[in-house]
Amino acid sequence: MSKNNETWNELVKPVVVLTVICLVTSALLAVTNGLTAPVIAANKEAKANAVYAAALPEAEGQFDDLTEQVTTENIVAAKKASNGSGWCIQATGKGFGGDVPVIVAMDNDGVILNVSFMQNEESAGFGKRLWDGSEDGPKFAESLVGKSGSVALHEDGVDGVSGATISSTAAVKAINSALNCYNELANGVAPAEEPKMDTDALIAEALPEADGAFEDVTVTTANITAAKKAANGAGYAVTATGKGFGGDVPVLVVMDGEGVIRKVAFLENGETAGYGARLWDGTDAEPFAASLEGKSGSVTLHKDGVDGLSGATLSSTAAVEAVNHALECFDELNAKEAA
Amino acid sequence: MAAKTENKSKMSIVTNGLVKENPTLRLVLGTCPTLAVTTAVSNALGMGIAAALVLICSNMAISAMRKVIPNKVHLPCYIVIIAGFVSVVQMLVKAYAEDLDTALGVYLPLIVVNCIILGRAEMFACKNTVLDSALDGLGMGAGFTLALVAMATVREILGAGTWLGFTVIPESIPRFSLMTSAPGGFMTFGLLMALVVWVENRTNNKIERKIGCAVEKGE
Repeated sequence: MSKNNETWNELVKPVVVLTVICLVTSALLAVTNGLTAPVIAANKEAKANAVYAAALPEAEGQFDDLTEQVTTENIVAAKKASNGSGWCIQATGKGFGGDVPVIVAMDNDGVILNVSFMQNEESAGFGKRLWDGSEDGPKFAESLVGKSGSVALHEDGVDGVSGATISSTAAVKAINSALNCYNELANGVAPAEEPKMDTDALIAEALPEADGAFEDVTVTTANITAAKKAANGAGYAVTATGKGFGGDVPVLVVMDGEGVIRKVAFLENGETAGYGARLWDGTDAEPFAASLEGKSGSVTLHKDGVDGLSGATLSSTAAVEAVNHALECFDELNAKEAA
Repeated sequence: MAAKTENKSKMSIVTNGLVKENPTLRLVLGTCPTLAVTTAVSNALGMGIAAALVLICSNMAISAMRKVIPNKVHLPCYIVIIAGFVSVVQMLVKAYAEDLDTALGVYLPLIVVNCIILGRAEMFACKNTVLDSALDGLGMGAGFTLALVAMATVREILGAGTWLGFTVIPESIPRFSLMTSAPGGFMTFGLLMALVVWVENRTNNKIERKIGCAVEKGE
């Protein structure tokens, strides 16, 4: 019997005791977790909603999160006040240094109640003035109160932050995204597609003589992604690329039958936001594109009014390179025609 | 291992932890959280109370099972019990005292390895009754809190000019912000310890301090 007792004491008892202690402790933890988990979850949500509660005090801190249902682009969060007092939508716009996040609080009819510019990485003294505590941000926000539907810079007193055009444009874009999102959620209106560049329409518009009839052509000139020629020989539309900072810089060049540039469109690229990305993000690339119209043969940066994008020399050089490849391609295509 | 069985009065068990065997300044246990959370008095109070709570509960639980837990597995058993209580305290703090949770950060769950708790379990709770163990936990917890608050008072007043959030030193006087960072913590701890040793020498109460989590076996 004493041998059994020994076995019990040496081998079995320790295991049993430790196991029982573990089981009891686990039960205790499970009970406490059951009690505290909902409270902790509520705390977390309240913290996350704090920023929206501040924007729309009438909601009394209670929001329904509808972010999952949103198809409008550039929306960070869409919150509807649980008591039906309005909406709080956070959207972003592409600024100089990255995203410019804005929270727009609207009442139930989509009329802007207030606008908060959140922390952004724009330049100090320019886009940072939106949120750094100076007067410019609040003044800009004030000018947006009472607007609805859509807003535009320099219209109806919406003047933005003086000297910070790029950031102000980004902010306005964000606000319009928020307003579109409201439309989508409250009125079930499908979000207006951000006008993606319709290259075919662009080509047809630039070369009306072609009557919209184009054929694809294979070429041997280097750095050409696509080449189209008008069926009636009225002109050509060539997409060429140049080597930029972050990769290829694609450019669409529409030329007439003589190789004179009718229209230039910078297509989406992977260049740096605020620099080469400005070629295609809709901010200030228009003058550059316009400066290339009417040129032929070859173009050079900083000659004949072709000034490129200020501050984005690498990308501008790549764009010019692309245009020159397209003009080279014209020579090949033209020769083919003659043949 | 014949332990000296003193007939301790209940009160003396409590005061033991406050002065005679103050865990921070005399037994030198739990120095890690001591240095970490004494940047502000509110944090020190929060940590002290949380640790005291765990200490009392674990002491009672271990004492209640002291006859059942075999020596072979006594350490794992103690740790499971202590970890269980710390997790409970952590969940309660997260739910009802969120700011304290953010302030204490990782040091709240680290109470599990706070030497004071495991030390008292081995030194006292496994050899004494549940009531005595509870009182010991109370005394040690109070002593710990007292030492923490003393250190935090020095560091917060000198480093931030406030005490419990109330501005004590006028804004115009620049803060000695070194006090709220690590070097200041070590300095304060060292100086406080020196003060205590000086008092000990004057009152002939010198105690030999062992370095690290040395667990005394017997008296």
